[in-house]
Amino acid sequence: MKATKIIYWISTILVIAMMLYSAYGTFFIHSKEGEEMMKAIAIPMYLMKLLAVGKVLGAIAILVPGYPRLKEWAYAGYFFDLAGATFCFAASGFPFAAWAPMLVFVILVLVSYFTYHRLKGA
Amino acid sequence: MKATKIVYWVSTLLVILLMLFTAVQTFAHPTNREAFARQVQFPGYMFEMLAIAKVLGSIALLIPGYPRVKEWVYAGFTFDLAGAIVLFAASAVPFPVAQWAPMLVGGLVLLAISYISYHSILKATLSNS
Repeated sequence: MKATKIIYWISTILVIAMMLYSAYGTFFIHSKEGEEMMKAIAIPMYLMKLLAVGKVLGAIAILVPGYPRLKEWAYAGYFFDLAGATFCFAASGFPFAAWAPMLVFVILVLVSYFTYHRLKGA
Repeated sequence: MKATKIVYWVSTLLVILLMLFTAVQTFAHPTNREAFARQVQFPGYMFEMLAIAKVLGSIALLIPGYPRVKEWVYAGFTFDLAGAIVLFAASAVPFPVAQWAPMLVGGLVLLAISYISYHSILKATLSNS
């Protein structure tokens, strides 16, 4: 159980740190590379802003104890976001090596989700 | 409970019809899809991904059991409809509200009814067993 707890916290904190950084970047970091990347995957800015708000709300829902149904929605949203982002790069013609690292976060969110349920069930 | 079941089935089937209808439209009319995607500055490939997700979600709602999967489907359908509302509202090419709001807001209301009645049926089943 102790190992599960450690795995849960490491995966959860990594996912949430990445989500919050990405949300912060959407609103406060304006770089040429960032703009070109958005153009390459053709995702409009308003969608990025909407997702950034979703990322912050999801982080709160996952970190605040309790509210299991809300957590379920947050995990669903995080998974759709991360899997969708990976798909965006794959579908826009980026080579596998360019988007493969994103799969790490898809796996991390699933690790966090399954360890969360294991801890809840115990 | 019988009334709740009827409300559940009517609302759920309407939601599924809406999802499957838009999914079919996405694949049946690629020219329209791409023209619409340009208008709302949204990548066309995303509509294809969403159409596949809508079909998978509809299947998951129809298969009995799997409450956690259903929870994710309700979350996904909510994000989809709410996202679509933002897409129309934020579009550079203005769309008349009457053209999209009734379907999308109506869809969200039906989804909420389906979700609430689903949980009250689930709760009753759990307390009976």
